[in-house]
Amino acid sequence: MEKVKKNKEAFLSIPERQSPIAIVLILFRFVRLVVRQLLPFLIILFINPSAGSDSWWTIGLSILLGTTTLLSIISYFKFYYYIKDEELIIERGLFQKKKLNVPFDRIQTINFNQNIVHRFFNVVELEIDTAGSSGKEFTISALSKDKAERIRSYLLSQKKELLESNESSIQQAQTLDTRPDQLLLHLNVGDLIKVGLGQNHIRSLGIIVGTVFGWLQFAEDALGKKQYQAYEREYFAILLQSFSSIIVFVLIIAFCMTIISTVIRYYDFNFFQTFQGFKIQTGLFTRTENSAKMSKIQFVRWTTNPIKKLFKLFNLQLYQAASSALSRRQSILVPGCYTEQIQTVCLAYFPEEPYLDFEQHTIHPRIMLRSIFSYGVIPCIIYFILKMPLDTWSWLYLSLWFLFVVLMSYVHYRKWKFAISTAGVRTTNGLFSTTHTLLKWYKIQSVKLRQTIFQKRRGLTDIYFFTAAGTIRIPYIPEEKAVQVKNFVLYKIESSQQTWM
Amino acid sequence: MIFQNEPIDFSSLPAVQDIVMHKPAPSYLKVVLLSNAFLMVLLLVGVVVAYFVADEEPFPYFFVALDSLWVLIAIYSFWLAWRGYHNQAYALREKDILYKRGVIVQSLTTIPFNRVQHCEIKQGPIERFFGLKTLEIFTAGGSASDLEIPGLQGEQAQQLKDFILKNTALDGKSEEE
Repeated sequence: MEKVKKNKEAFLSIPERQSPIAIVLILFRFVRLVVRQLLPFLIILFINPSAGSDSWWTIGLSILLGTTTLLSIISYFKFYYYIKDEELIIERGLFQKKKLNVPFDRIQTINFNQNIVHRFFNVVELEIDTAGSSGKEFTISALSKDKAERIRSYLLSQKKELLESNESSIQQAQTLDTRPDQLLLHLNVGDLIKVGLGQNHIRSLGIIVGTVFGWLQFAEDALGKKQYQAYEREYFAILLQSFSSIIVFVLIIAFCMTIISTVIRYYDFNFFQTFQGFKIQTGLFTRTENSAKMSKIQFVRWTTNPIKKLFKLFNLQLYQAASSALSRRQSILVPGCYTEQIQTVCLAYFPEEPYLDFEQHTIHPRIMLRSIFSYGVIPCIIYFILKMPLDTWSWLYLSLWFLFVVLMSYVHYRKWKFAISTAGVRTTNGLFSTTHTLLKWYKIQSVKLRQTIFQKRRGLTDIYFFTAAGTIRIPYIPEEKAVQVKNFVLYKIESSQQTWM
Repeated sequence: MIFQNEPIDFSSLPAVQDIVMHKPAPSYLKVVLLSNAFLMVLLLVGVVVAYFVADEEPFPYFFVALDSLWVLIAIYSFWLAWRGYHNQAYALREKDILYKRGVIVQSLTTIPFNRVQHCEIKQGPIERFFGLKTLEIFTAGGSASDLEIPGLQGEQAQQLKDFILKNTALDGKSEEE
């Protein structure tokens, strides 16, 4: 290895295998899958061992485990990676040999991932992202940490050399390259609790309700129907009596769950500015590192809600170009940050923003009628038809709902704002939360004007900007204005030589 | 580095509206109506099967209601197909392609040539019978922004594809080689 390292031309020219830990990883993945799939079954077996007296499934499981072990060992021996002709090549495949190659100049980002097994053995998973939209899997699942580091720095340096020989205006990047990663933000447990308070608690509530019903189903299977129903009769009355306290209890649990999951997911969160973009490191059990090159970032979005506002916190997301399947993992999400970090990101994404004139606009108030109609009038009519003779309570609920919808429609209309400049657009919208989006024109792929016949009659239209990281829509703007904006955006895209990635 | 960005007068920009739009081939109307007819026949088969399978009507005149519903849907969908055919059209400009469509919800999509990733020509069974083809234009903007231009006569689809690809190549930014 040492010899190879000294001679730069020959770096990795001999095919190498990954770390043997890869076998452990494949087995771990398999066991996790089995446990997840068979969890209810295993629990029933634990409670009621007689259910497992048939030993056929034990045999089946051990055969499966044996085969997997064998296959994972074979696949380890069949897996090679090496470098040849400015390409990283991976050869793999159990029965059919597969050869994947990535030319250096196609490499977009190189990420390291670590789950709990990786961390135990101190290895990392190397994940290479290419510019292609095919979303091909290109990972080496286990490498020792310094090996991975060496490969990464080698690939990046080679890529740069390649760029230098191809283009002339790259000297700038050279000087930037030497700048070390700059830590913009670190979130400790205290910060994460604050962040957790402002997360969406409804999701945890859903998970709790789902789990409880799931467990009741298990209990019924495990105890047998008769005994279960006896228990149900006994406890159900007691539960009903303390209904309100149960609701409070569940709410508190949901609240704690969001906070705990936030802390686990974003434990020891670091947000860096690198020489060519941004980078995050996050996670307690599975440690992930994601980086985004500046050129790949299509738009920037930051959100706050009343609770987050108390702590002056924002949720910041950098949307990276990606094929749709990968998009959720690809965007860089900062769960809690302050105005300062947002300014840094905006400055990197849109340096000229502070010096441009932005033309402020609001959307047309007619949008309120549409939201009142689709969320207020139609549900009320359906409810009315289904529950024909309405009692006083129903009338009360209906009118309360209708009032709520009217209020929300007004808030929605008032919050929608957008500002247009020669280089990009800023939008603000939301109901309870407030979302800001910043988009540069040349990142746009295509533009669509869309109107219903009702909108057409009033000369209004929605405008859609499609980017490689998602769609941005501005509703209910005057047709004339929309056409102007559209023409201008197209002019900008078609006349500019800037590439969107 | 000095940042230069001259203000542009909006009214001097090329307008999207006043250009010649090309409608799909007349035989495409037959394709649209025929495929709609197939769908309606399929629905009718469902209704008939339900009539013979069901023991009793859920409420009086249930099947009369179901039949009239079918008639209403059929009339509506044929009207939609008819109007849809007349409302859709595409136009080529020097640097982009426009496509408009829709009856109740109308849309006008513009894709600049320098954002086109690739193009495909496809042909369904009914289209094949009438010798028509559909051109699909893909961008990196996801499936929502991809265009499908149906009702192109045989060579026309290929010509259109070649024209678009030639222009993406001319722009020469080579995101895809």
